[in-house]
Amino acid sequence: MALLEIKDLSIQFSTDEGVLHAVDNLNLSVDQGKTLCIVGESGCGKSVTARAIMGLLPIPPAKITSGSVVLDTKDLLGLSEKEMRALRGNDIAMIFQDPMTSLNPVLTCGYQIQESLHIHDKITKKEAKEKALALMKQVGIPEAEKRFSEYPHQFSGGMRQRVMIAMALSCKPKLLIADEPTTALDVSIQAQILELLGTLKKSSDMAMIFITHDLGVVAEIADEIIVLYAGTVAERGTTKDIFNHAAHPYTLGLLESVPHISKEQEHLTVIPGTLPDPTDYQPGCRFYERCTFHSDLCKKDPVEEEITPGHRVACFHYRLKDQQY
Amino acid sequence: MLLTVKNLKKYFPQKSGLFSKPALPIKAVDDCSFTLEKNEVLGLVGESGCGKSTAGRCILRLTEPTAGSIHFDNRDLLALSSGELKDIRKTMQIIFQDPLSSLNPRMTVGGIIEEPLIVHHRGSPIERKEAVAALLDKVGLPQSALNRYPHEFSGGQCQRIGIARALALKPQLIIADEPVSALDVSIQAQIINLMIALKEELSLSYLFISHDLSVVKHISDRIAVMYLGKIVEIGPAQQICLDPLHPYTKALISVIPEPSLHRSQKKTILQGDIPSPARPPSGCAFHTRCPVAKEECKKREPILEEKRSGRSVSCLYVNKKV
Repeated sequence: MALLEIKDLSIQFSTDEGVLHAVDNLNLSVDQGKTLCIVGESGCGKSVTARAIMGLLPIPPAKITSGSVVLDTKDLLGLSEKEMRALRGNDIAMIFQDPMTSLNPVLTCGYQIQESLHIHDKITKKEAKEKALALMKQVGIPEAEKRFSEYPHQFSGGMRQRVMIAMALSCKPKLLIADEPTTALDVSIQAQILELLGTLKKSSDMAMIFITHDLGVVAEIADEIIVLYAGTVAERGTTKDIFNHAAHPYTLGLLESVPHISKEQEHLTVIPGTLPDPTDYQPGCRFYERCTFHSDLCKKDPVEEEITPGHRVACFHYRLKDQQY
Repeated sequence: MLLTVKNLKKYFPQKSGLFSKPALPIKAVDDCSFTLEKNEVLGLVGESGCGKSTAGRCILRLTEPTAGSIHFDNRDLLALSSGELKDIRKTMQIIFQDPLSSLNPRMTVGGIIEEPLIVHHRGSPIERKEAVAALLDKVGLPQSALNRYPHEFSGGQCQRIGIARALALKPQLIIADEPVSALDVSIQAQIINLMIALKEELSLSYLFISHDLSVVKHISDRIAVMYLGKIVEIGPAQQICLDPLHPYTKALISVIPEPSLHRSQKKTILQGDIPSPARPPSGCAFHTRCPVAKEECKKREPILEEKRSGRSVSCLYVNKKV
């Protein structure tokens, strides 16, 4: 059975311009020990989904109009704030994109790691400190004893992200949500953090939802991938399905519009146009206007079709993929 | 040679406390030399804090360099008076990273693109209107954009407005400071293709500054890799990416995540953080993180010298084969 199962999740925001459809009828599940990557461009609803799982959406203006988020047979959307607090940091933990703004600047990093242990595990301060130090060593912070009493501004970006990871891991969560954890970091530091997350994954059976816009990072870390476009799923499958047998025109376009370092490319393929206005979606496929294959058929809402077991595509024309995109 | 930069240095002084030792200056750019030919694209890559943006700003004298010389079109930029500088800036323009914050929110798009023409007294009002309309066409924006404001446009479109403004005075050199870093992948490709097309059409030269080596490789003829204010390797783009010589370039390329499952290279993950540019390590600045550093690297500072034809590397242990 899946560890986390999201069914028919729809999230709206009420804005001055009208109702914004952030996520529409999203289904997904994550198994224990697996990494699910949610890929998409800005505004596709990937971060909103993560926040909905954590119960961190500002309600209002956000509104969950339908669906369920079930973790281990418990529906998270029906929980009270108190029950959710007990779960957050304990069963599910989250790391954010910008480690500086998600750490408290006036508390030492060591204190912030030990705080969650103290709250959830009901252990003495001394034990909590020992555990916090062990965590800092585990995530590769050198001179942990000395750095325990330093403040976030004394840490570099990569080290701060390690502190965030140590905090997230402190209560051995079943599910870790990482929302663009390496986007703000330099490539050489990003490689360190990805390596760390990879080894942590191997040494425990924690599930991970990894949110990113960078297809390169996805290729390195994912077991399964969901490609989101304008709040709906365009394509889903294993890493191999997506990178070797991509079928949705959007996925194909994304893969080809990225410059490769080891490949000779004359010209970058471009997805024409821009994202549709999320307050004014037309019925039918949301990729319609930017898609080279579109036909009248696409004015109906596409449903996800299974091409091979586990590989699903929401497109009427996916078979055209062998033609030149 | 369109642009020749020699021994460029920019040190930012730091404030020190009343009784503390005088603080060391931040060596943002430390002895950089490079050249740029007409209709050439030179990519300047490096991680944050390596001084790539400062180098770009020094060339335009948006930041005053501490030392060195910059020759543009055989004129010494550092010897110019402010009047002469204004005059020569017509031929060199800049495109910034954040497309929205680099456009005045209270001006219409037409006004923004026309402004450089007004500042430099180009043409009559009617001629200027025509020029603006032509520029909009060139960067792929509809004429209806003229009377609208920047906030009505998406990031990619704002970057097109920024490019149109930079092109207004028909410059020879454009310094593009991370022009696609803030854009989504699908939009990034649009802007890169536009910049390549414009370069061919108007025979422009770019100094393309970015942290993303794959993007730089795609657009550049030559690449200069910077680390802690110094150029560690410079050479033709393809050769640098496919056969890097400096250990830093090698490591940097090996860890770039690629959107494909067929990786041939083994990753070299650099340990530790980038040292502070106020206190760069002795000898070779990279020795603290270098996987192949030897005792000698701590003492002797390597110089950037030609190790293969057309390729210069600053490393003691890269053999010369010219």
